[in-house]
Amino acid sequence: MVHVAPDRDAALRATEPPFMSYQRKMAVLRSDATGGNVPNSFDRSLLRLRSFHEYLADGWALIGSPGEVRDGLQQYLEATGYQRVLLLMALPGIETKLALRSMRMFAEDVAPAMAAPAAATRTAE
Amino acid sequence: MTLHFGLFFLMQRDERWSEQAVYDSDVEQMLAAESLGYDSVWIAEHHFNDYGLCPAPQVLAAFLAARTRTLRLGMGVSLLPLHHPVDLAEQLAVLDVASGGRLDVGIGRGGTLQDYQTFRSERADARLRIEEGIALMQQCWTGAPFDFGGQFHSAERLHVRPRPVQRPHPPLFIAANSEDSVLSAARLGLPTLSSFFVPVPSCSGAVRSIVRRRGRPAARRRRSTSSSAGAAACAWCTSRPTATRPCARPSRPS
Repeated sequence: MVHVAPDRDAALRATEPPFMSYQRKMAVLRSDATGGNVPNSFDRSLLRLRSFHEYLADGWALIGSPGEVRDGLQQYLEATGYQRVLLLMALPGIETKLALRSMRMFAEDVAPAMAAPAAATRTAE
Repeated sequence: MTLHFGLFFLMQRDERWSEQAVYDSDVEQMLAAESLGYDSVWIAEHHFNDYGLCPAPQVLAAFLAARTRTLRLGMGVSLLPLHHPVDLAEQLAVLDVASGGRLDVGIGRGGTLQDYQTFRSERADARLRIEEGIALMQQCWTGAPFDFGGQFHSAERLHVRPRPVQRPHPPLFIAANSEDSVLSAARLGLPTLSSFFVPVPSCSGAVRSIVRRRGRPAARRRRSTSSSAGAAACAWCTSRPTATRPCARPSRPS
C-alpha cells in the first residue's frame, strides 16, 4: 500500500481512515469465522488488527512525501530484487482526488528517481 | 533493466460509499493510469463481500480496454478453482484479442468457503484444481484441437476459439503468499505474484531461498520464463528475466 502527498502529515491525514477500513475488511475476510481464505501454512498472527501507527512502524505501507516513499520503496526493492511492483493506492473511502494526486506524484516525483535493484540482475540470470 | 509500475485495485467499499461510487472512483483512477505512465492495472476477483466489489475482472477489463490504448490489463487474480477452466480460458482469450494482446493473467486459489460452495467447487482440492486448470487453459490457448483427461475436467477434440494473440499465450502468474504456493508455482514453471499483507521484508528472504533451492531448477526444467517470489507490505510484486521475455510488453501479433 502506497500513498504519496506533498508532505508526511498530509499523507497520513489522507490515508488513516481508509487504511484502517481496509485492514478491518481484511481481518474479517481472513478470519476463521467466515471460512477465511488464508492457507494453513500462513502465520495468522500477522492478521491481528492493530493501530495505524503500528502498521506504519512495521512496514505495512509506504505513506509520505515523494522522498520518503522513494527511499522506502528503493530499500524494499533492494531487499527483494523485484523489478515489477503493483501499487495499492485505491483504499476504500479515499477521496478520488487524493488518490489521483498520489498516482500523479508517484509517477512524476518517485518513479523517475528510482533505480532498478542491484539484486535484480541476479534474479534475472 | 527497467522498473515497471502497475496499480492494483481491490474495489473495496467504504461503508459510506455506494457501490456505484466505488466503481466511478476506481475506474477514474484506472483510466488515469495510462496517461500518467503506469504500465498496468490489475483487478482483483472477489465474491459476495465488501472486501472487493468486482466478481468479474475480465468484464471490467474489457471496458478499460476500449478506453485505453497501451495500458496492460491484469487479472489480479482470477480465482480459477471457482470457474470451469475452459470457460475462463475462452473469456480471457476474447479479452486478449479484443485488447490487442494487453492481457496479463494472475491465477489464485483465494475465496471463502461460501464461494466454493456456491460455485460447487472444493477448497480442499484448490491447489490441484489450479495446477490441472492451468494445464487445461494452456491447451485451450494453443489454437489447435486437443484431448484432455484430468481429475476434475476432461475434454475430447476440443478446439477453443479464438486463440489469444499473445504467444504462446497471455502471461500467467501464480498468486503466492505461502511456501506451498511458491513451490506450486515452481512446479508449474510460472512466475509469482506476491501479496501485500505481510510486512516488508519479513518473509522475502525465506521465500527467495526456497526459489533458489527448488523453484529455479524446476522452472528451468519446464523451460519457462522464470520463477520469483516474495511478499510485500506495499505491493504485489514479481520479476521476470528480461533475457527470456521482454518484461513490459510480451510478444504481440505481427
